Amino acid sequence: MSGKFGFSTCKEVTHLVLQGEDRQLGVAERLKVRMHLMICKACPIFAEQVALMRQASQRWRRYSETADGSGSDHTPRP
Amino acid sequence: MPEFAKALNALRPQLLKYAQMQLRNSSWAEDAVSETLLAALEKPQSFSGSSQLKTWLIGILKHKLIDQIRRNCREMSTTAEDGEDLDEDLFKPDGHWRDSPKHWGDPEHCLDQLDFMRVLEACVEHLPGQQGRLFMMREWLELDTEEICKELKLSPTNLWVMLHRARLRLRECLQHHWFDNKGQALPAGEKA
Repeated sequence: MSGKFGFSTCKEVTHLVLQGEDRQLGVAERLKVRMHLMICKACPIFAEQVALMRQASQRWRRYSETADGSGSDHTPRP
Repeated sequence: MPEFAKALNALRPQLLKYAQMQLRNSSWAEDAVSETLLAALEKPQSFSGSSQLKTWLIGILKHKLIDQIRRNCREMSTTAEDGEDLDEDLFKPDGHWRDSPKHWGDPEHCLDQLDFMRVLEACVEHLPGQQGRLFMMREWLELDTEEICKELKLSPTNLWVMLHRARLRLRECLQHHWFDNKGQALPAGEKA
C-alpha cells in the first residue's frame, strides 16, 4: 500500500514491525502499523512471519541447552 | 572425577559451536570455552544435578561470552557484507513489496521439528559477522538493546539497523531453506 490518505508504505511498516522486536513502539507508531495492517494484504503475512521467528528463537534457546545436541528433549523442564 | 571430566569434554564441541556463533572469532571462542570448562572443573559442587549438565555449562558459557565481548569489543566491527541492505530487493522505490511475503502456516508445525531448529541454527551461523553477533546477543544471550549498545558502543539507531538487516536475512534464509525446500541443508559457506 502506498502513502495515500496518510497511510504508511509497506517498507515503513516492515521497519516498524521489526523495531517492535527490539523496543517498545510509541503510540503513533503502533497506530500507523495497525491502520496499515488493516488495509494491506502482504504486511500481515510479514508480521506473522516475524512472530514465528520470535517463537522460533525462544525454542532454539531451549534446544541449544538440551543434553546431546541432537536436540532430543526428554528431560523435564523446570 | 574422571567421569565428570569426560562428560565435560564430550560437550566441548557443542559449547565451541555456540561460542563461535556468538563471537565469530575462533581464538576468542576457544578461550571462552576453556574458561567455561575450567570454571566447571573448579566448582563441580555448584552443579546441582537437578538440571542437565549441558544446561549448566551453557549458563556458564553465556557469562564467559559476555566477558569476551567486553574484552574484545574494539575489534568487533562491521564488514562490507554487514552493510548490505535487503530493502531494495524487497521493495519497489514507492515502498510496495516486489513480491508479497508467503504464508508460513501454523507455527507449531515447524517449531516442533528438530530439522527446523537445525535450519534456523545454520541460518544464524550464516549471518554476516556483526549482524550475527548482535542477533545472538539479543536472541540467545537475551541482552536488552541498551546493554548491547553499551557493551559495543553503538548508537541505538545503528543497532536497530543491524538487527533489522539480520532479521530480514534470517527470514529470507528460512524461506529459502525451509519453507520453499523443506529441510534442505545449507551448503557450507553459503550466505544466509
